Amino acid sequence: MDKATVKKLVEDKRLKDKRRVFDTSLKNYRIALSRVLGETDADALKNRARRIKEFSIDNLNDLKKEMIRKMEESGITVHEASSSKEAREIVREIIGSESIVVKSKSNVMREIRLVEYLRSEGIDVVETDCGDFLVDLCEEKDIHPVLPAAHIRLNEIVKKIRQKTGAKVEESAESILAFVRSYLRERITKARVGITGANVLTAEGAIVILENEGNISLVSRLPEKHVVVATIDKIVPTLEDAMVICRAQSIWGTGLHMPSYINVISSPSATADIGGVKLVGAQGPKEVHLVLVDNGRSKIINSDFREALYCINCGACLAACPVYGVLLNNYGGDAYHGGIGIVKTYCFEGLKEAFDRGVYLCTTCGACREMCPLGINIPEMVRKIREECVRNKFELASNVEMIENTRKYGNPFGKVEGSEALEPDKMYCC
Amino acid sequence: MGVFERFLKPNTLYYPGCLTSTVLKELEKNYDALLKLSGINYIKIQNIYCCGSPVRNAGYTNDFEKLARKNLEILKKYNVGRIITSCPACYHTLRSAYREVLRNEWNIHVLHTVNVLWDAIENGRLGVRETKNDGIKVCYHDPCHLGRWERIFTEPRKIIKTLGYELVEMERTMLDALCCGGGGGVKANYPELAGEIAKERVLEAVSCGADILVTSCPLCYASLKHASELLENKKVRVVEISQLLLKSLHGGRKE
Repeated sequence: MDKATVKKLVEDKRLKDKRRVFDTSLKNYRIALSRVLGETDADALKNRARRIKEFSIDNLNDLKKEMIRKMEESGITVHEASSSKEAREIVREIIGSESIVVKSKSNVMREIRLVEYLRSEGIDVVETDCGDFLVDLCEEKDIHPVLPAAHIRLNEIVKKIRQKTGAKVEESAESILAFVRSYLRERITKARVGITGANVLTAEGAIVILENEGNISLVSRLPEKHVVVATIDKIVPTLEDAMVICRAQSIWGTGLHMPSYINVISSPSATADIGGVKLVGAQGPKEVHLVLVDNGRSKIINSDFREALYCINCGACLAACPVYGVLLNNYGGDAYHGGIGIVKTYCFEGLKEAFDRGVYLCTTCGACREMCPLGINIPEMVRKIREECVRNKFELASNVEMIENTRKYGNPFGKVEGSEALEPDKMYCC
Repeated sequence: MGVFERFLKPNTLYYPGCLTSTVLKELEKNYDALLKLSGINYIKIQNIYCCGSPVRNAGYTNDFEKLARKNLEILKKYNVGRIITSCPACYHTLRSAYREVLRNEWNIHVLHTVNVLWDAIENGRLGVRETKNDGIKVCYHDPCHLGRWERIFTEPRKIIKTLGYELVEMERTMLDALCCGGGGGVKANYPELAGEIAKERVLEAVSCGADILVTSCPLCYASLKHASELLENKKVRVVEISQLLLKSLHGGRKE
């Protein structure tokens, strides 16, 4: 990202307003988190979560094979997708001739740009996560993996609801929610395909999804087909391991000891109550499909970027990041924001994209790493990407001056006569 | 110290870091005075190179390794066994990053001035007046390189309290401290962004009720001071910890 773009963003009045609105959510989150952490043996939990992820990534291939075997035994169809394109096409095929699908919040669906693709195919894709629904309605971009719409003012939402649906809604959170609830219920009961992500997958064959709103329960139960889109790094050995990850996700993601609901799905719905014969498709879906996305992940297992696969997308790092605090979702990729977003953008999309989305914005302050329940060293990975940038001549003007001065004079400032009034953009240090 | 001792006993080097020695020269004078008052014998080396912190953070790995090797050679030539630096970025780089590239070749002990000066105060080598600062509230901004990356949190706070100030904490402090915005090359590459973050930090100091915002990093100091001026903030004065110390000193007994 160049200097002028960043200057414009910093001075952008609309972005400043979003920051003000979003700040309220961030402050509430920080208060909730510090209270919950005070009541938790956070270090022990972090260690357990880290060990589970380390083991799982070390043994990913074996765990994956085992998981696929178990799932197919219990009637879940597993589709492996090596790229975004492949994943999109698999989902498209499963949807078949259906014209409406309901979906819950999912980072990987953003990563593979599933919604845009399905809409371009003429399919009505309904976001059922309240935040995602509002982001969609207001034609905004999500701001945070857990709080996607926390930057949108109520009056803006009310205006859009009136404009697009004609519904009369008062400018209060309760009134908006009542509308969202009834509007989405009608769509969810109509749809015959529901698509969700997953927080954890287990080698024993379970899909684990946590939520607070209840929309995931509906999306994964009411339609006839449930499609789960999840990435390979979500696999852990057992359900007990999955619960540790869920606990971490809940605490660091929302500041709650546990979520309202944890869905464990290990087969299509079935009954053996009629004549003693097993029939598939009782009250829940008849078909469960898991689209298992790689999209560059298996390539980074043994690289400097392996730790990116430990990420559980809780968003805690963003709340700690000074740069995200100013630039919000303009820093990082479309699906993953902030410093970890830069790392994932580099891993899944490439160097140029990482450079354009702000690999040089990171102050390497390390607040993200302290906050991260998995202790992911994001600044170190950012530094590695910068090394790649230098090798490929993706450089910034100030850095070029800095390195030229250092090579010539042995210090980054070059020949400077001491003065505290040195222009900020000549302060090459740190 | 005689000629032979000089050869036998490894030297202590005061390494101010480029920002301090080239731009913020006042701070270098402060630390020279404080180290002398503490009775520490040290040398300075004029032709030593940048530690490489900005070089490393910007991704110029080869240059970083070259700087580390050149500096090692110079340090060996001057028989340096111990480095004292007043710059947290230099401290972190010399202490931790050099080990990554120089491995076992690097065996020089690195100290930050907050450790050295606190030690001198605690052992009575640096005398301080305690009482006059009663009722003045001071908050401490943890520099990322010193706090999060090297876990030094208590010494600077002990210094502030020993000087008789009332220590208050900002909302985000120690491990959670908000960066001044200037690290990782952001100050030079994106000055407006760095400035915006620094302003947020200064406002945090204002809301915790501090009269003085003190830090122990030249870049944090420059960034926060600049932001404070831009905000036309009159409530909090931004100072570097050496300035705070010099105001309250009378010489202690010598080593």
